[in-house]
Amino acid sequence: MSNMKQREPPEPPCDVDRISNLPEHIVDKILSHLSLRDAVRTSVLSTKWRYKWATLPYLVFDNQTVLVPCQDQTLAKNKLVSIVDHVLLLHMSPIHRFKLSHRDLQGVSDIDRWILFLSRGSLKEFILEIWKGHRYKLPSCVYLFQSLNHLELFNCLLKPPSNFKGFKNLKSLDLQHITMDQTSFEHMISSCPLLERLTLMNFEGFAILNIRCPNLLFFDVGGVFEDVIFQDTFHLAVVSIGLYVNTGNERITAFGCTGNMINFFACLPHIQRLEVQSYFLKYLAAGSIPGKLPKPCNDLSFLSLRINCNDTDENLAALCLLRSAPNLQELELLARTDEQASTTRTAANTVENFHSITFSQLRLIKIVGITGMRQELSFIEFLLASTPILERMSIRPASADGRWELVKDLLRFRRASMFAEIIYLDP
Amino acid sequence: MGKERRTNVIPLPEVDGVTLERIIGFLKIYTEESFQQFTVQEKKKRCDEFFANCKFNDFLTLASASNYMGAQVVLDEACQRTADMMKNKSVAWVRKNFGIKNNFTPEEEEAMREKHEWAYEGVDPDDDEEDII
Repeated sequence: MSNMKQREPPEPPCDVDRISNLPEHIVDKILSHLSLRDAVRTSVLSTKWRYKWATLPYLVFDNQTVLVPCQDQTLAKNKLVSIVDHVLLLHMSPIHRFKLSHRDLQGVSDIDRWILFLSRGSLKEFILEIWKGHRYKLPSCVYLFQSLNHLELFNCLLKPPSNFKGFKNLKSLDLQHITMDQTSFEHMISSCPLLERLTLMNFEGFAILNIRCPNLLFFDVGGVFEDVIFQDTFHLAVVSIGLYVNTGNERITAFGCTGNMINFFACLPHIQRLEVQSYFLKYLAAGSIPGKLPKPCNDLSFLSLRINCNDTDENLAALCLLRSAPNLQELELLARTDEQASTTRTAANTVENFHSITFSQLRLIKIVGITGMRQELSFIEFLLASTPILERMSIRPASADGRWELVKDLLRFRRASMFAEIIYLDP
Repeated sequence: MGKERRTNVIPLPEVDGVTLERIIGFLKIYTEESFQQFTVQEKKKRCDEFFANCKFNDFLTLASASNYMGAQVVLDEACQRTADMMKNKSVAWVRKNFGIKNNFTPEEEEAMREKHEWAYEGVDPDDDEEDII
């Protein structure tokens, strides 16, 4: 939409008020797209508008909503606190969604008070992001939000009371930069029976991810942990896991005699999308790695692997996975070329293991960060030869060094698919 | 909707011709497979193009009509775009352009403004020459 030039006569102001008489849910919808400031200002448009903002079922206090242009930190914070108090007091109907994410907010006692206020209502979505200072310890009344179906916390400390029975209606949980102890974590996860989405990023206080969630569909984790154990997660369809620590040469102790690979996939029969990030492939490679999984992942259509092609264990783990995904449609290989290769296994050259696979559904391959090493090229050669319906393979190396050699090799490799495009992308 | 025959006319008293055309036009775009493949930005651009000629009241009419007809996606767009037009504008500007009559007494209005003083900071200044599109 462009503004007309100033020369043209201005539009006459509107004579007919159509907006004030629109059905309530339409006005609510319009107000829902406005920031809190804009919505509150509508109260003075006319008497009809006086309370429209106050019956909106959600309140969002963030840097867009509340402009508190103040140089003095304390003044800014005090102003924000008084605005929140003010709005909560004047608000007139049940609040279903509450989000507090303002960068000037620091004082904890105020937040405790607001949470206490909200716990008396029937809040469905609670989002709290603390941008400054230490982990904010949530008051015990937050565990009384029984109607909650979405909880999102950033930089908080969770310590549920011993009589906490879980959030019975919670469907979505997003915890980032949080601290919680192992028992509380397990108890919370297992006592939210309706949980469908779980996101955990950068957590402290627990290292074993014991995920017992019969309705879980989506699981996204990134952090430092020792083990991840799924139980009863038969509907889990989308998983993204990043292990941020390099376990190096010490073998991760795999419990029991089956390796991590088998244990991990045992309770994921219907997985559709999997992202293995950071060093998680190393974790999967611990313990014994079978040629392929006992039960194939027939629903797996998208796989992304962060892999160090120099590492034999990781190569074997990747191959096991590829052999167990007969219906894979899209594959992403993100090269990690950090430490020296650790060959704790005297395996035959893994290239020879390649020959037994055909990917009958694989159409798209994306390769990023390679440096032109022999192992990487072998992998690419193998992929091109075993993908009869490949449509596109894109390759973006880590640097421009040796790009001609790389491109020459790519030209040379045989392709099983006559429709395949190989696209070289500049680093 | 196929060709209308006299016996198959469906009267829509709440909806005028131009609005109906817009609703149908938008729904056509929205249900195209190519549209569904777009990224979020591409979708927004396409919608912006489609609604480029609409003015405020057009959106309000669209909102009413699509609500009546149950065309949820058009209703969502119309509400979003109405809100976009109001963002950060002064009360006077909104009253003028949406035709809202102020029936507060000056004292009442003053009291209301004081109640929510914080919400009036940083509002865009009114430009009398500015065209309303």
